Amino acid sequence: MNFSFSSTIWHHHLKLGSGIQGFGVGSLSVYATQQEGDWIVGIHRGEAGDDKAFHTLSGEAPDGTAWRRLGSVDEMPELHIRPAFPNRPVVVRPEFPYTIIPGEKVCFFVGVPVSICLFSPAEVKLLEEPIVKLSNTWFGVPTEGELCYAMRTLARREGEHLDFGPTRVVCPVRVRNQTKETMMFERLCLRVKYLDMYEQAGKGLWANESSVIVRGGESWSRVAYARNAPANLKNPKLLVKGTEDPKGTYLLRAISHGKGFFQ
Amino acid sequence: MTNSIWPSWISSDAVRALIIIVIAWPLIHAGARLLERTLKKHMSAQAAMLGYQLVNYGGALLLVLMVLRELGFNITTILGAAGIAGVAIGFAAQTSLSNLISGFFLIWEKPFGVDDLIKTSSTTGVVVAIDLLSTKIRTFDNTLVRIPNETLIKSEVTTITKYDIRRFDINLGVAYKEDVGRVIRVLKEVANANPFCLDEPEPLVLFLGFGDSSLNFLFGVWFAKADFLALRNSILKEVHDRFREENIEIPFPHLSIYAGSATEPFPVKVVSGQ
Repeated sequence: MNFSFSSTIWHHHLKLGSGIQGFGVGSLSVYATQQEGDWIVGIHRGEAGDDKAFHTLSGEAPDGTAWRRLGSVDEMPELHIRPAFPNRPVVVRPEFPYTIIPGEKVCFFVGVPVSICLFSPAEVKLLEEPIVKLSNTWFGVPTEGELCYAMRTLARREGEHLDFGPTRVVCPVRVRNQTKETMMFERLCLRVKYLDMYEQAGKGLWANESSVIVRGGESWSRVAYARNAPANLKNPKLLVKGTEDPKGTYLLRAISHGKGFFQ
Repeated sequence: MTNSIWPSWISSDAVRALIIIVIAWPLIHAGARLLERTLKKHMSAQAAMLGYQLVNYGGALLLVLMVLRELGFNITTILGAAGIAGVAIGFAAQTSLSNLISGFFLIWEKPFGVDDLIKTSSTTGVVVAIDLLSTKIRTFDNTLVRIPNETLIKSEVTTITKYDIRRFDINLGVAYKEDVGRVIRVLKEVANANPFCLDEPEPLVLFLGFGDSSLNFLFGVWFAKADFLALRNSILKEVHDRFREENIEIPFPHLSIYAGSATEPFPVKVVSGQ
């Protein structure tokens, strides 16, 4: 197989061929070959590298590659490469606490690293591997909450010319402070299972908008997910549908402001 | 002609009793299983197990009574005798009754459930079943321990997997020459680099005080309960490796002896050739 990436890998397939085929991004390398009529796919984590673009790999897979058998080549003459959101909610922390005054509505953009998935021609997911391994975190109190991934974000405010490349999906988040007090936003739980992923040439990967209305006190936040692609995209292509369909507005513990959450 | 529900060709009492057993026992068993499956959808696993056992044992008791009646025994007399015997048995079976009532409390109070990891004074293992009289625990070396319910009600039991996250505490000592601030920074960096350590709640690094041979710290990292082994194996090694890289000494217990002055070491003279 011979990969030739322009800006994205998401339209490529692994096809029947001879020898080992491979591609890499950041610290992740993926190798594929055929053995005794089966697909054999190997995952290797090496030194941290450029995680903003894919590159082809040639030659033998390095020692320490974890191989797995995926199924018959006869049944699956090609494997489709697709992106996926992380398989748990993602708690994003701005680099610096963000002050939102009462009644203010702010929009910021978070780049969430995607996972690489291999699908059979019948759209059965065979493998999922994150490009960047995010650390675990807990959103809630020690006795009750959700296991999530953690990441830091620059929480960019200008989305018009934003492009995180093919390895991160831009998630627009609109937060409105409906309380009567100034809010110091420190963490936000992004429930990515409700998000769709779109692609547009020159703009990378984008998700539909999440909007959070913070009601303060003991009340949970009102969270809604847009059903369409962000308005700044022209003719975007839907790459991945959300794993759960957002049905209306949710009352969720979505935002954490103030210290002592876990004490 | 006799007034009976049985066809005339089934004349023998024993045959009738056998037919009752053959038909009723599978029905009781199937009914108990159906109830268990229904309860499992709406209630806890142990409540479903209890429902199954109540129907199974209750049905078996009724079946025995029906069979005895068919065999010509007077049920009223038997039940009367059973009432008198019950009092006697009650005295004799106080422990069993206590275990039975304790079992109901365990199921109602729910300090732990099936598949929870619990620790008693003598046993640590996974709860396999909470039965009417006892709780069965599978230990890590795959043995089954039966603990009477009364014992569990009376004694201290720790449910290790009650909550989704836990904290793993490591007690550490470093040499007196080390910089406390640097040790705290290094430990935080180790926790941040470990993928199994939770980012929130934040890792805890507590300077406990001055030990006999070391400055003592408590290093507590939070983790998802499913990651216990992976975390334990990785974090201890990472602390050890990082301390070695940073030349932070973990001292062994030692005692310094001084001769007359607190600041001067004990004079030792090496004499050769003697």
